[in-house]
This record gives sequence, structure tokens and C-alpha cells, in this order.
Amino acid sequence: MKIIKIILFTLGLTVGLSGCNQFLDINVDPNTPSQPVLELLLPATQASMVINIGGGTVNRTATVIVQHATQNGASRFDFSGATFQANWNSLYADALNDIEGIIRQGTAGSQWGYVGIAKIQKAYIYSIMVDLWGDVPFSEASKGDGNLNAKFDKGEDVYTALFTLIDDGIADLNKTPYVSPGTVDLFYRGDRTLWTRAANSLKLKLYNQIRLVPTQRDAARTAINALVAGGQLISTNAQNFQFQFGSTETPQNRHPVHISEYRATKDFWMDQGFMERLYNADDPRLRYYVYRQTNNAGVNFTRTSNGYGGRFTGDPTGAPADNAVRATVGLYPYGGLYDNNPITALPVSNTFLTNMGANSPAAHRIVGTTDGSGAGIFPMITASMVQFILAEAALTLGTTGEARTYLGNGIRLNFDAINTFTAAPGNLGTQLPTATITAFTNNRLAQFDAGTADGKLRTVMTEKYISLVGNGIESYNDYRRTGFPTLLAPISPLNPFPLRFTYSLRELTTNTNAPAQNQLNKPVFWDL
Amino acid sequence: MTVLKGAAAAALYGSRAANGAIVITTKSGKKKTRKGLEIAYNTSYSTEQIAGRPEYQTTYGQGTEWDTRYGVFGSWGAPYAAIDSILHPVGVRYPAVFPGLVGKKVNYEPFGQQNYDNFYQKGYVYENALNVSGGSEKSNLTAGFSRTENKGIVPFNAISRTTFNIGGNAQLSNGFYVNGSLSYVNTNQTSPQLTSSIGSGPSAIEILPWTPTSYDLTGYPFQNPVTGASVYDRFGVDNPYWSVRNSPFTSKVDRYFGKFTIGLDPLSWLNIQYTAGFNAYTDRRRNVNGRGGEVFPNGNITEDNIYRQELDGNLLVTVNRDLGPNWNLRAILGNNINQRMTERSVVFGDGIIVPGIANLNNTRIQLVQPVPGGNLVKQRFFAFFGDVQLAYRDFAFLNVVARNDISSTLPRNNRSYFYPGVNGSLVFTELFGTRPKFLSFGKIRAGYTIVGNEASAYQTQTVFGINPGFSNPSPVNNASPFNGVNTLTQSNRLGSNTLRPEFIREFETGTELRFFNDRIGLDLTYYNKISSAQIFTVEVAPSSGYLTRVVNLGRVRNAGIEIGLDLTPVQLSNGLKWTAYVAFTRNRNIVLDLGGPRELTYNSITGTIGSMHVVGQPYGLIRGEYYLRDTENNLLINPLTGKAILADRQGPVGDPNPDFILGLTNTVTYKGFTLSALVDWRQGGDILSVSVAEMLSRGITRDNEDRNQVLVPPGVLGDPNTKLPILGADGAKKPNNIPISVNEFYFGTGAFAGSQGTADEFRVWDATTFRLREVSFGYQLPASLLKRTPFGSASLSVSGRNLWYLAPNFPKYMNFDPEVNSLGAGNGQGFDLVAIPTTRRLGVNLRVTF
Repeated sequence: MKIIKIILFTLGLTVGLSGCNQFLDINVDPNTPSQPVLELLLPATQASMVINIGGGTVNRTATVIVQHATQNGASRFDFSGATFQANWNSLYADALNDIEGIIRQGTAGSQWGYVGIAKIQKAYIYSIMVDLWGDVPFSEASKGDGNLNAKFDKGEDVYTALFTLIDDGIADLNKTPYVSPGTVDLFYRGDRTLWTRAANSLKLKLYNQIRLVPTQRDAARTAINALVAGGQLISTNAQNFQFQFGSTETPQNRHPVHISEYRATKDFWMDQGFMERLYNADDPRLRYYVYRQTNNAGVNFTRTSNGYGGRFTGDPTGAPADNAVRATVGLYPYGGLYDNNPITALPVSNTFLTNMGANSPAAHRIVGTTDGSGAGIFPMITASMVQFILAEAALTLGTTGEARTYLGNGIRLNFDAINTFTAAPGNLGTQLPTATITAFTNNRLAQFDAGTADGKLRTVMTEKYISLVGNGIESYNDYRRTGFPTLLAPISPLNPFPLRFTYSLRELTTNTNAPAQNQLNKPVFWDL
Repeated sequence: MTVLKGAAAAALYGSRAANGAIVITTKSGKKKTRKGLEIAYNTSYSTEQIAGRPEYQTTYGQGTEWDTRYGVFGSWGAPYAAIDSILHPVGVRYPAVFPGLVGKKVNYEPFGQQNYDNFYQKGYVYENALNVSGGSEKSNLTAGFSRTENKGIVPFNAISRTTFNIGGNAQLSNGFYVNGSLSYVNTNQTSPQLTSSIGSGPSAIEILPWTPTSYDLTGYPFQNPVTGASVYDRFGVDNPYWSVRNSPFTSKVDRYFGKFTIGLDPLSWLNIQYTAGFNAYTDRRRNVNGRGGEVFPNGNITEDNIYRQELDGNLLVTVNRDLGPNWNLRAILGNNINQRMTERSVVFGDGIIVPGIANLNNTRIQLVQPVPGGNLVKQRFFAFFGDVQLAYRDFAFLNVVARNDISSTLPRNNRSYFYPGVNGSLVFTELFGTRPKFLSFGKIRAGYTIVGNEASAYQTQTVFGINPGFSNPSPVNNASPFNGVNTLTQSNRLGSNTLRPEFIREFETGTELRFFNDRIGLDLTYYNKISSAQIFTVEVAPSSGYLTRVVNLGRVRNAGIEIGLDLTPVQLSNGLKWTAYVAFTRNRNIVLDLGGPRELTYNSITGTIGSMHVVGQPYGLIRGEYYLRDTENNLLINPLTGKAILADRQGPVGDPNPDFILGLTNTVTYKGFTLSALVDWRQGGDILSVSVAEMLSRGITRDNEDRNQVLVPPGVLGDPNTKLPILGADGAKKPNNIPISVNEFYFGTGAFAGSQGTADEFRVWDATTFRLREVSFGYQLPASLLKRTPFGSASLSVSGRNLWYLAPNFPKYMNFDPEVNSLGAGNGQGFDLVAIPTTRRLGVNLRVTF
């Protein structure tokens, strides 16, 4: 029967088609690669690392704790498991996961340039994590479903492993053949000599960090002396280990702090104590660090009616609607505006912070997204920081060199970096004359000379602190290690001064090997 | 429309019918039509109003702790009685834009209620539908057209829907029959944006209720007269009136679906037919953030074009044969092929050039965006199935079904899976020679069915994302390419190449009884359903390098009863009839095992809330933060703050599963008049309501109007570091003795109800609700009256929907309707984030045929 034949044919067709495996082998996602590509992964790890550490809540909170700027909750030490979890989660799931991918894939393919850089980045991230959280998953982390409940390693053990990791990274960079990642390396464009300097400077920072641990004191001294003798530290601003953000808004490449402050809403107030510190200490960096939206700020803070309207740390009162009048972040290091407006009632005794060359009449403005380039930097380890670290080590460990010389270099290099930043395309501002920088440096050196041993360290750490705007984490480390500078007591804290940060709520909830939440009053291992 | 209960439907309709199926058979032409019924016209008009609104307090204005303060979303300020007038808030924030308002004083008085009431408008729904059918013995045709217009209760919210359909069938002279249908539905929608957290976007609906009670939202300007920018008291948030005008979300959906069936009956007991069907739509979505908004001052437009297509081929060979005088056999063998595909592209245009023109050409720079889930998603399956039913006379049935699916979404070794089922029923009243008088009908049924189910596409692998975004704490995230360099990152979801199909094993039994000549009818069902290896995305510790992971979960049991009771208390010879229908459902679910872990979290909605499974507890608990307690369950109170102390971890803070749902429908008919009312009662089931919590925190309703007091929440003093009670010299715990203000009680870290730091356990309410869901009154014109008219039938009805409700366990003055459930579907259950409030409808409907 013809009809039956047709039906059978149809049936045969469907069955035939159904039997075909090809018909069903379509479950490979056609939208994204299933294999890693090193030259695309590396810049992602760099952006992710910097945005989470430098632009994220961790650096913002550290900035508030050390009173470079202020916020309501953070300045009252109001922290919970939700506070820092975005950064914790993303550092592990994005930056570190991709870094491990690069190390794995790069090692298999002998791409030693990528492997070396990835290891140095990994060491930097974990060192910051230990500094902030204490014990963290390290040896069992990043294993995917190979280990879903990584144990938390002791901070001390992680540090020990990091020194080896850094050395491995340097060794990888020196393997042959070296294929440079080139422009996809957003830090150094694949220049391995600069990466080696960054790696050595990171080691310097870490050895200085652990100098109070009795068992590490001698090792730290020896290692620092060796690093100084090796001459491969970051010594010029061109060698700085710092991340340069872009100025485009689409795609959004700006410094996250510029994004949040140069708009109608703001994440920060400028810290009233910090502004007054600079003002009273005749520090010309005030014009670079702070931009006044008006010359008469004062909804609730008419204390200084010169436009430097911020809030004191730990202020418990509700947020005033002062977004359009409060002082905000300036040109350096976020890529905002240089404040060239006259400062009323500036004492004539001031020789560095002056009204010379200021706009007349004043040109204050309510800042918006179009103000400034947004092409800020996150200074991770700079030439200036290296000098300050060497000054501290010379004073406390007796390492090679004169603390006084290092201090002078540290201040000068910071001013030079600000001048270079000011001159960068897209940024507008007045560069400080060399004579002013020299005179200012000499002024601070005189302060150093006049100090006792303790006073000398205070001068070094205070100057470092003022130069570290943009990297509150390093200032927070320094403060916990040295107790300098002297900070104002918060008006109404809700908790004791945090000696470490709270763990990610998500990590604690999902990891069966996670310890109890960090107690804020327990120091990390190097904080003795 | 046919409702197939339980898993039994799955053999014919596949695993998507694992929980039963509603089969809507579209008209493809009826048999011969009757004059007077060839054209049907239906029209209805309803007005729509907000169903419930919060009752505002009228004692305190904007501010915190009795202090007037502009720019805050709190009405905890000075009492109205204390101050006569305040500076015009708009003049304070925008002195340059509104110089006339600078220094101007306005009366200090409450506007809260009118701000809310004036914003929501009266909407309407206007529906018209025309259906035509006609034909002969051999072939016939139906065609329809309908149009619905809906103006929403939010300004500028509107939906219109236009439908065309045509269908027909024909018996061909060569023995074949064909039928087919084709439908086209066009839906246009404009709605306000709904985002769910403060500051992340212009969500009018979310912030409207928080507007400070002393701010005259209706009367003050909402727009900068020169630039068109939003004007509002608070920074970072757009004025609701500005937002609905300038930042709309629009969606244009064109859906077309149809099928074509060809078949024949080669033998009297054999039918063979093949149906090819398609169902596709395009959805052109556009999201505008108007220029001059607070979060996106430059404005932007996102165009999201979605194309979705499903193709389906279904072969059925049906044998229907009497085996002797008492036995009948019906056997179906079939084959099903199915493909589902989604193509999607998203383009983001930044910087609106001319305000008011919603077109990508009108933006400064365009960027193609990554699509959540991928630009192209495709999955296929094919299946063979059989369904054999043996019937003894008309009262005993035995049904055996089996199906084997092979799905593209599972790993090759696991992708073919077989699932059988058996069920039977018996009309036992037919067994009795003489059945008892009171029992007019009795049937029992029982079945055991297994249903298998596939995964979603691409869950078997871990992929890499091109040019990812990087979130940061500012309102706008960073994005790639970075400084001109393209990037790639591995997905945070760990795929599983060992995924297995999931199975549901269901035992179901029930009875259907009718008494006293059908005056009482009872339909009873009990089921016990074990789901195993459910394919699920759970959360993992971030230190593993991933945030989520696809797994086969352990086992979950759902057991429950469903009771349908049909009563006819009154049935008089004059035509008066009163019927009542009671529907009761009660489901109990429990997680039996999770394949190892004791608990698993999933579906994180914000940093602190989400869902979780715990072994031995109901499925899908609400997860959130909770406070520390001592061993006697006293809250630990921080002596520094007088507030509670958060625990380290998240835990279950609510069970969204209702205890039972009871519905009661009463219908009275008399000579063409019908009066009907439906009342329902949902008992239990928790909801974490962010909107209620926020309103409490903002101090806007009468719920926290009584503020001339201090509160000492019960608890004992505890150490936030050691997390233990603080003991006195005598070793005893110290009861909390720290008074806090009402404002503190409801606001900030450690608060006892509300938001902005309140633990989620104090943001959960029992969603028990009583509701008068529908009342309708209709009249069917008697045929005698229509005799001389061209009409075959005519009926008129008026109805009201959602006329009254009561959710007694929510704060009283919120008048909250728990049916506003912005995450009701899918995996997350029991959350109210932000949604347009529910509405009450009053309408009239006319239906005529001719």
C-alpha cells in the first residue's frame, strides 16, 4: 500500500535521523572558548587584581581606617562578613583562578614569561590577603572540585611559601627562550627586567613586614641587605609597580574611585583630620589630593570655611546631603581635578602650600563624570615606597644605608611621581617647581634630624603615610607594624580598632573547613 | 484545555510535563458549525487600581533621630508639631537651577500618603475578541482576532496585545486528513525599570514609598527646566516621576506558532499521524536610562534582541481495538524530535545625544555586550515512547507507559535514559450489582511513574568569558577591553562532565466519589514523589576558584494530599442552584540527602540573602544572616551599641513552603443569573520582604509612629569578639539594659526589624493570607428573547478581582500583599524584592454570538 510506504518512509527518516550522534553532539558552547588563551587571560588577571585590591572595598576601607578619607560605617569599624566578601570572592574566583590557569598552561607550553609574571602577581595578591585577613586558604586553594573545602593556612606559612614563589617567578623570567607577552602585560609590557625589580621590591616589602617576628628578624636583615646590594629594586618612578587606569568611560576603564566620586553621589568624604594635617603641616600636596567643590563648604562642618569640608573619622550622625559641596578627591592619584583655587586665610608663614598662581577669581565646580581624566593609578610598590621601606629598615634593623638619605629620596620621588602624573595626557594641573620640592624635603629632613630615635621613625612613617594616598592598605600595614602616624580616635566606634578584616560570609558559609569569623582585635602574625 | 495531573503525563509529553501538564488544544476547526454560533464576539472593560497601600504616619518628617536632615531616605526627623516651616528642599539642593526657591520656606507638613496615592493612577484593561468558524462535513475553518489594551497603575506603564489565528482541517478524498493552525501574537509593553537595590539604577517603584513624608513629591518640580535632568531630594536616585518618563523599559514581542498534522486511518483500528510544530518569537527589548539621571548622568540605551525558536516533530501510531465484547486495547507508539534555540545580542549605547529619542543612533558610543547565558544556545532531544491502555468495559483501566529520551545536554554516556510508568483505575461502583443509594459514583486509582529529565544546554563544561566586566563598589563597573587590550576569564561556574539525568519517582493514589445523585463529590489524591539526582547549580567556596558548580543533588521527597470537594447544597425545581467547591492542597517536602554535604547554598540574590537546602529540612529554605544567641536562645546584645551581633555564617531564616492552600468557590445560579465568589486561604510559608523591611527602616508608616519611648530589646549582653555572653561578678549573665531609640530599633547594623544592617531573620514574615479573589455576577439572556434578533446567544457579566485580602502576620499598616512575589518562580522562592504592587480589578464583560 502506497500510503503505508509513505508512513514507513517517514518513520525511517525520523529514526534514521535520530540515530545520528551528530544530531546530538551540539553541547559545546559555541559562544566562548573552552580552552584558555594566555595573552587574553593575563590582562584579565591584572585588571581583576587591581580593581579588587586597589579599587575595591578592601582598599577603600583601609583608606578610611588610616584616615586618608572617611565613610560612615568603615570609620566606626562596622564590619560584617558581607563587607569584604566581594573582593575575597573575586580574588579567588577570578584573579587567582586565572593566574593558576596561566601557570598551568604556561608551564605546559614553556611560556615562561607568562608563568613568571603570574607567579609574582600571585605572590602579591596572597601577601595582601595575609596582611588583611591573617590565615587564608593557600596550599589547598584554587583546586576546583579537586578540593571544595580548602583549609586555611597560617599567615606565617603563606609568607614563607611566597618568598619561594617569588624566587620561582624570577627564575622563570630568566629561562630561555623568553617570549615577551608585550603589550598585553598592562604593567610592564613584558619587560622582564622591570618585573624582576618589582619582584625584588615585593620581597623587600615582605621582609620588612615581618621584621618584628623574633625568628625572622635576622633573616629579614640579611635578605634586605642582599636586596640592596643586588641593586635590582625599583629605583625610579618609571619602574613603579603601579596600575595605570584608562580614561574611557565606554568601556569603563577609569579608576573606580574616580567613578564613584566624580558623580552626584559619593562614596567618601575627605577626612577632616587628614586635610587639617596637611594644611597645618604646610604640605603642598593638599592641592593634589583634595578638590574643593566650593570655597564655603559647611552644611554641618563650618569649622573650616575655606572649602575643605569633610567629616571627622567615626562620626555617628547620619549622612548630610552635602554631595555637591563637600571636598572630594583631587587630581592625584585618581585622575580628578587639580585644586587651583585660592585658599582663604592661608597663614603667611606657609611657604609650600601657598596661593601663588591660584585662580582669581576662584573656579570651584561641582564635579561630574566629565571632570578629570579618570586615568588614575593604583600605586602598589613605587620607588618612593622602596626608599621609605629602606629608611624604616635602616632605623629598626640597621640595614645598609642612611635612613636620612632614604627619607629624602622617598619624599622627592613621591613629588616627582605627582609631577609626572600631573603632566600626563588628559590631566591638568600645576607642577611643583624643583626648588619647592627640595626646600620641602629639606624641611622634613630637619624634622628628622631633630627627632629622637622614635621621632625619626615617626617622621619616616608619617611622611610615607602622606605619600601613600591611593594605597590605604600599605598605610594600614605600616600603622599596625609601627604605630605611626598618630591617628585621631574615631568619635564613636562600634568595634575595637580592627587588626584584621572580616572573612567573606560566602566562604564561611560554603567551606566546611573554614574557621570562625576573624576577631577584629586579634593581630596578624607579623603585628607584634 | 486538558489538565493532566502528576507525572503520568510525562510519557506522551516528555519530561517537561514531570509535574503534570496543561494541554491547550487550539482550535483547528470543529466539526460542522451551527447557524447563530458562527461568529462570537467578546468585549470587556475593567478598571484597575492598586490593591493595597501603606498607611503613612503623619507625626514626623524627614531626618534622623528627631533631627531635620535633607537628603536622607528616613522620616525619623522632627515632629510636625515642633516646626512650622522649613526651607524648600529643592531650593536647598539646586540653588542655581531654582533661584526662586532659594531661601523660600514651605510648610512643614505630612505629604506621605498623598505622595503615594497620587503616583499610582487608575488603569484599565480593554479586551475585544472576535472568533469566526464555519465549514462543511469535509472541511472547516476557524479564524480569530483579538486585541487587549492595558494601561497600568504606574504612569507610562502600558501593554497591548494583538492576536490573529487561523486554523482548519480537511478530510481528503484519498484517505488522508490534514489539519493545521497558525497564530500570531504581537505584544508591546512599556514599563518602569525594576531594579532592586538602592543607588544601582532609577527604580521608581522601589524608592517611591521611601520618599520622606515631609517632601511634597506631587507638588515639587521633578525636572530641571533647562537640562531636563532629574530633580529630587536625595542624591544618587532619580525622582520617580522623572524616572517613569525618561527611563522606560520597552519590549516588543512577535510570537508566531503553529502546527501541521497529516494522518490517516489505514485500518479501522489504526491511526498514523505526524505533527510538525513550531513556536518562535522575537523579543526586541530596550532599556533606557534617560540623560540627566543621577546614576547615569550621560544616559544610555541598551538594546537586547532575543530570538527564540522551538521545532518539534511528533509521530504517533495509535492502535485502538476492541478485544472481544468487554476488552479494549489502545496502544500508542511514538517518536518525538525537538530542538530549542535562542539567539540573542545585546548592544549598549552610552551617552544619549538628544534626550527623548530612544535609538542607538542617538548615542555617542556603542558597545556590543556579553550576553548572559551566551549569544547562541541550542539543545535537542529525541525520544521514543509507548503508551498502552487496556480497558475492561468502561470501568477498569490499566495503563503502561514508557519513554526513552536522548538529550544533547548530557554527557554522551549518560544522555540516553528510560523511564516507565504504570497506573490503573477502577470504577468500583460498577462492580456492585446494586450499589448503595447514597453512592452514585466511586473510582479508585493508583500509579507509579518515573520521569527522567535533561540538563540545560552547556552545563557540562567550564567555559571562558570574553571581555568580562569587573565589579567595583561604585555604581558603574569597570569593563574590558582594558586600555585597548582584550581579556578573557574563566567562568565562575564549574561545569560537570559527569552529569546524569535527573529522575522523579512518583507514587500516586486517589479516589473520586460522588454521593446523593452527585450532590456531593469528593476527589482525593495522595502522592509521594522522590526526586533524585536533580540537576542543580549550587554554590561552592570561592577559595576553590569558582563560585558555583553544577551537580546532581541527592534526594528530595514531596508528599502531599489534594482534596477537591464539590457540594450542591441547594438545587430547586425552580432553577435555583447553589454549588460550592472546596479545593485543599497540602504538600510536605524534605531534603533527604545532598550527596554528601549537610547543606548547600544556591541562588544568592544579594551579598547576604539567597536560598539553601539542608538535609532533613524542607526544600529551598530562605537563607540569610542571623544574630548570635546564647545556649538559651537569648539574643546577644553588643554593650557598645545596644544592638544585636551578627553570626559568622548564613543560615536558614525562613521556610517559603506554605502549610496548605484552601480555596472556596460559591456559585448561585438562577434563571440565567450566576453569582460566584472565590475565597482563598494560604496558610504559612515565609517571605523575606525587602520592601516591607525598607519601609520599616525608613519610618514612613504608622507601624513605627509611636516614638516617644526607648526600647530595650530582650537579650543578654554579649561580647562581639568572643561571641559569648558577658558574665557578671557573680557569674550570671547580664540581661540587656541598654535603651535604644525607635529609630535605632529599626535602622542600621544590629537592628531588630528593617533593613540597612538588620539580620535577615528579622526581615522574614509569615505570608498567611486570606483573600477574596473573585466575585462575579452574570446574566445569560434567554434564547426566547433572542429569537427575533440575529444573535444566537448573549451574556453580560460584571466581576471584581482581588477585592480584599488580609496578611495578618505582616506589620499592620503596610497593607502588604504577599502575592507580590518578585522571585516566585524558578529556584528561588520566598522573596519580595521590588515589584509593582498588586491590583484590584472591576470589570464588565459582554459576549454575543451570531
